[in-house]
Amino acid sequence: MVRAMKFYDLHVQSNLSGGENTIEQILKFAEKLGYSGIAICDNYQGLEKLNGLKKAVSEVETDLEIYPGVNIQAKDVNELKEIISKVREKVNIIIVSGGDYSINRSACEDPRVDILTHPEFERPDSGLDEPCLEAATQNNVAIGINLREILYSFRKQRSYIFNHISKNVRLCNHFRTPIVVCSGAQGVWGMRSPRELVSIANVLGLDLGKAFASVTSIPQLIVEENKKTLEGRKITEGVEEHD
Amino acid sequence: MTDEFKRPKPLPPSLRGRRRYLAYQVLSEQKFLFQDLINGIWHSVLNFLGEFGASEADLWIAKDIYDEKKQLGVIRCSHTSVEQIRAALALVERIGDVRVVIKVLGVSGTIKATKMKFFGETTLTEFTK
Repeated sequence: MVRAMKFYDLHVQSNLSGGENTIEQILKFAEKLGYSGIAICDNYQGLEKLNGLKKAVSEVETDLEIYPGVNIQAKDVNELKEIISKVREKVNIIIVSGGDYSINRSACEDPRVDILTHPEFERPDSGLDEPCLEAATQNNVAIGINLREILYSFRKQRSYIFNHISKNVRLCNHFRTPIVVCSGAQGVWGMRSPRELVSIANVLGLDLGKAFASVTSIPQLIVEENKKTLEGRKITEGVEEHD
Repeated sequence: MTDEFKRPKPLPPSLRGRRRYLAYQVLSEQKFLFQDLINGIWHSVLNFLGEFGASEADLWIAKDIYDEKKQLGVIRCSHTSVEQIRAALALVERIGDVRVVIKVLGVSGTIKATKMKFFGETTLTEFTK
């Protein structure tokens, strides 16, 4: 039996944290584009807002898989660690917005982080080096390619971003670090169909199989592992409870 | 017949460039003009691939196959640049002032197959079955 591929976008923002559209609108559009699962990752603005998001996600009726997540934009490493320890037990996806080298490195070294997105953000370099990627591979932290960063930049700036992302992709290939492609959309018009995200990853240097994995198997694995942990079925690495 | 209407003889299939046809659908918040869509796609392709890359892609946006009601259309490109054109289409953000998402429905080797696969056209032989 041939199983249809499941496509995931693990980084979409809703109107609960500065996004443009409601969760229902996002899900409706995602269904049109061909997604099987969406993670609503709003910017972290305190536990109250996070609980609001979780409640909204649990109340919505849809055929798609939907997960609450959080996008952490920390000023320094201490703040990052503090927020991660607060939210890890509460949400399915933790995304760290990179850019600052110490944040990039700290996120790579923390196994509780799922995705480090745009490590090259507003930097003159790619933002990752050998120790970062070795740690990311060891701790299973995926490096995220963020479409929003590409979509809303122009000419010289966009070419720099492509250059930095390609460098990161090359390094990730070398160190076997997982790559995830997300839209990072703040509204439905920032989302793209999963096959188009695959093409962008392919053009940036990932071979087609890995590019498909970056929107299918890798996000699916992240989601399933975290689901097991949150439900208390995963006791520790390699030890799980079965019915 | 004057010289300007004379065309070179068609090349044999083995010497012609290998092409692919991408069927696309435009999801938009409002209606837009087809000419604006062509301009938007060319703008994105030229920005993304450059003039030389666009020439290698052998791009052609079919005007007569566009379905205005369903916003479905066909783009032709060379077989080596399908992924690049898909990426360029993903980077089209606006057509004029209208925000859009261009979704590629699929790729085929001929216009006929594209129409049958994605535009729901049928042939007479299918009809008689």
